[in-house]
Amino acid sequence: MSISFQVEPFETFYAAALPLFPQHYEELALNKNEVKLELDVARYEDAERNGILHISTMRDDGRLVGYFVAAILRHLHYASLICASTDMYWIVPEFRVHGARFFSFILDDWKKRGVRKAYVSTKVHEDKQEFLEALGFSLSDKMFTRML
Amino acid sequence: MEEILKAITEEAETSAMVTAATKLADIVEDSLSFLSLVQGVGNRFGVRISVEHLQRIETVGDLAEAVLSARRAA
Repeated sequence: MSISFQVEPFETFYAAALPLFPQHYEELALNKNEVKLELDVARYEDAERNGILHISTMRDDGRLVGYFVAAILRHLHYASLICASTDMYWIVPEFRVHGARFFSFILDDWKKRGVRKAYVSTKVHEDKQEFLEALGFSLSDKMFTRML
Repeated sequence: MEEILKAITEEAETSAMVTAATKLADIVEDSLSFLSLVQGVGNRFGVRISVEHLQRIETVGDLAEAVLSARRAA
């Protein structure tokens, strides 16, 4: 087992992640009867061209075993603040023991890119609050959702 | 180094034979216990290991070196 962390382009990430998405979706997605898994590849590619998309990956001997997809951009109403916001993240269960090191890599890389504030969400039914707090995060918002 | 290896073994509450080459992932249950181990060992030696440094801590030896490095910097 040789774990590596890196930032990679959407193209290589997407090809490697396709087999993992169903398990990710099954574990974390909500409203599955109404909201299907359907990545908008063109919009991810557009975000990448515009320098917004940031994809960190964890690989084991080259095999994708975890990913964190984020958007890095200036805050809309705090324009001088560069933020990283969660799109999605997931780690193959047996590799979650490496999660803290993976987040360390991600936060360090974001910081090097000028990010000053990280927004990382967690699902209520798979709550990672204790883990995030141990990494220095503070609970700052609660988000409520409903289907319309 | 011996003292730190002993502290890591105690903090990890493992009966496994721990050497500098032992991977931390083999002696902790999950990422939270990894963080607890790093923090617990740091506390024993009065140092704080930064979150940014965690990515480089794969083995017991890496953790021991991080503690020694933090002590030198203090």
